[in-house]
Amino acid sequence: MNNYELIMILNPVISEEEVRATTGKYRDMMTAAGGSIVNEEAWGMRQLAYPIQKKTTGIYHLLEFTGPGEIVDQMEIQFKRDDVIIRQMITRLDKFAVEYNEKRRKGEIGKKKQAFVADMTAAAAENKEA
Amino acid sequence: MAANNKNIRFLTAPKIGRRDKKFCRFKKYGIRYIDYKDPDFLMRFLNEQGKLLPRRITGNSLKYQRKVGQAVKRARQIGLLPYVTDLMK
Repeated sequence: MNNYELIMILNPVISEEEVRATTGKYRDMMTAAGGSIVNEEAWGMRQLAYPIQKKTTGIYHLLEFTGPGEIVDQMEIQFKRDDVIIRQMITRLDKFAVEYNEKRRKGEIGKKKQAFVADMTAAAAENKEA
Repeated sequence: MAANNKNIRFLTAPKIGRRDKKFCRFKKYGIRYIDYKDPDFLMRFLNEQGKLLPRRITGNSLKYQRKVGQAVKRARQIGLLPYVTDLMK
């Protein structure tokens, strides 16, 4: 059993129902293949950093799951057939990533980041002085 | 004007010679995973064209520089960061 994270970008022109249908489809695929879902996040419409298939926006959806490695192969075949998905990526998570994602869900990451940002800006100001 | 130049005074004494030692912020703050889903954070390690900054400048240790690189490449793949750009910051 491994931990994975799937992030997919859906075509921005589809309706909300279609979004639900596609994400539901992959969720079912995971559970059917012996995996289980850890976390799901719908980021919604987002600006892409560069155009993909001539589209400048996309609907982002994140799925974190655990399961055997065969799921990934099965899903990758499906992704190729699916024309609603314009880009997707599955990454395997190591133990630090799992820990990080848990903290992120609890909202503990932001706090640390704020401290970090403060530190960075102080460092930048110092650099400017020097 | 020439007379003024001789009398320049600094609010704080200018740093000459000794430079602060760079450090790896991931080691210092105990960050062990670099998230590719956070483009704002990764932006710190890129220059204005969206290219990865060298360790020489960021001070990252080799281990974490590799991880930063990996995260940036992943972020680019899923359209969170651009491959090439101008005036990103």
